[in-house]
Amino acid sequence: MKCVVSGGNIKILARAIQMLSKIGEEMFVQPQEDSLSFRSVNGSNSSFADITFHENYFSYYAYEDLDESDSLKCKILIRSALTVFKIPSLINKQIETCHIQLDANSTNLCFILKYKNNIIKTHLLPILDCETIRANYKKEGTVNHLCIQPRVLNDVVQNFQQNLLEITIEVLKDKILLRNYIDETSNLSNETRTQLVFGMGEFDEYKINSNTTITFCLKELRAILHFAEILAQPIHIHFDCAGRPIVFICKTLGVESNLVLATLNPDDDLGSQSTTHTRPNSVLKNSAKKPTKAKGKIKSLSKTVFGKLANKYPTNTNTEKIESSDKISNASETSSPNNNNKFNATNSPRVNSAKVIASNSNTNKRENDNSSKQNAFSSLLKRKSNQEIHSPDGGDKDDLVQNSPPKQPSKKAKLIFKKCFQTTFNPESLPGYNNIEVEDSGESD
Amino acid sequence: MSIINDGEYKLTAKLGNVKIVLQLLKAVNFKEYATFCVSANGMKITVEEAKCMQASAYIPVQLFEEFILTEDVIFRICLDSLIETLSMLGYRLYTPDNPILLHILYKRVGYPVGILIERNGIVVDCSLKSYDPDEILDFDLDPEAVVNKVLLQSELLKDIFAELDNSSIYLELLLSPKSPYFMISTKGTIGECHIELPHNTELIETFQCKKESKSKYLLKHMGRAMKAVPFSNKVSLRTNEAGILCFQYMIKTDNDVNCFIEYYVSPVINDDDDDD
Repeated sequence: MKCVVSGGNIKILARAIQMLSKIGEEMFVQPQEDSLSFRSVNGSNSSFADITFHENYFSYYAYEDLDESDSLKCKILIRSALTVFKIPSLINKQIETCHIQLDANSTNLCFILKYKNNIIKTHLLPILDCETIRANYKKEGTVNHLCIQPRVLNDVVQNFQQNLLEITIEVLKDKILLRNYIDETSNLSNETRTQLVFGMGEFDEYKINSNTTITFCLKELRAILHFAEILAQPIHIHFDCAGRPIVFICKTLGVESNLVLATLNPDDDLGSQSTTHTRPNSVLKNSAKKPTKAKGKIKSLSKTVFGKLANKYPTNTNTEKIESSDKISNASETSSPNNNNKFNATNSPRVNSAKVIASNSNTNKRENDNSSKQNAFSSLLKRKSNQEIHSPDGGDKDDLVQNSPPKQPSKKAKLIFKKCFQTTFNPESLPGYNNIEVEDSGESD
Repeated sequence: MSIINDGEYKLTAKLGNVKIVLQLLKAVNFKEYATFCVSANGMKITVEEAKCMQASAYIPVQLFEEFILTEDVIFRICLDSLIETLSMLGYRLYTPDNPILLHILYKRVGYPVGILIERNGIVVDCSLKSYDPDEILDFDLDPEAVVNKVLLQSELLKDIFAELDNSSIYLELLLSPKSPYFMISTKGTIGECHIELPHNTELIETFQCKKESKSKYLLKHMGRAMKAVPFSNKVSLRTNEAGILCFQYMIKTDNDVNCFIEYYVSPVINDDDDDD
């Protein structure tokens, strides 16, 4: 495989590698007959990115060895790919063309950069392995579909702290609420809760068929936003409901980037409870582990989600299942209706209970970062097209920042003494209540 | 501020521009101590490491506003402290109408070196302890011994230096009368990189190559030797039969005086680990 990228397109290539470097450690290069794909997956298989450059992106593209197509796919370290475009400022000014060359059974992937001042740089990146990955996910036909300009979404995401791990999006028929996700192990009174509301006018397309609340990693979202910025094309967001993957797509004529993220499953525990009778041991183990795992460790968190998913839909390939292409199973594209029903059934009660909890903790409610919210609103206002701003009466509701979808409360601790505080509790009803185990300690000694 | 030279001092020098001196000193500051040789031609500051790398900065006598030398002197002082002293009044704020003046005074062996810097009436007076000088190695790269010589505008090297792969231990320099002419290669844990430089553009002033030479140098040494690239105008590369490489940078100052920095780097020989 041989191809040449020239002019402004080199910048896109550099950004693509930058984006992939934020996802995983390795980059899979897969040349196809009329396109070249770069893919990356993170260590816990909870996020997957695929950037495909089509033939018209290149000034020249030749996929020569049709017979040896198998030997062409390869895996390299993303760190070595990053060194090719080490200094972004040089890319615009200095580099004229970039050749990428991959020979069958070669040990190196070759990048040749031609500079304006006649310098030629040849980077030979060692190939680690001859394998590729593929993710099975559906891009079209999801329940919910949004389309937004990356700049708008970027402005919104800027309002959250840089070190925030996960973000929760609640989609409603006419608006979207964006919150920082706080996991149940952290103390709510120490956390800043930020919520941003944006109406459907901000979106180029807005198709919400079922209200849902999903939580996913912010880091990867930031990565694709950064990449989408240079493509200057809207981002399409496809998702179903919590626990199912969310897909971000941004494409131009020549380049298509897909990002698939796992979402946190808020009814994880309910779901596992419903299946307790089938696999009691494994489930109990999982839920017992949860609180320690969830502590800020996004990877392990996502991993559990995926693990659960795999358990839940053992035969369903629509749930994102990343595997090496050698063993991709050709499972049916449609999910079995049974599974979906079960999913929805478990979903709704959980959302309700989340709301109840939120209204109970009234005192905490206004802790949201007002200033940042204001900023967001003002920036939204400035940009505002014909979209009506939420009127003060509607705004009341928006002021409520819901708690992040809670996971299992630690039942044990609460239940032990719960009974004592019930009005109907009569200590005399307990057997042996008047037995004296130890006499009162007297003053006489 | 004036200094009365009653003959007691062997060296009295006055400079109107600290910035350029600092730039030169910082470019050779890879070791704590430096040897100063002062002669009628000016000042030469030499730093050496393990007899395999040497850097010298030359401040020509034309750059000094006042230069009184009764006899040639040589002394060693702590370069780190000198740089710290000279930076005390903030050289970055330097403007031609608000200069930082520098005086250097040296009595004789055993006496400290006096440094005075002044700006807007603020005077910093420093005494740096002087040490007996070390013997300075003579790399001896006389014109006849030079095999290959390239003279180029520093601009060409600027971006290359910034993008070198730091995971590599060695840097290989190839100079050849035939293609690929002029090539720098690194080989690190994350890949190989070959940088081919042109040999016949306007940025290359001279390209004299008698025969192919291929030498390996420690990237650490080369990194130091390329420290002067960003603020220099021209650079000349010379190698001899043994592979000793000499970088010579020319730095033009505001008042059209040329300062020079020279680096000698010795090659790595008999490195069997990497010849697989």
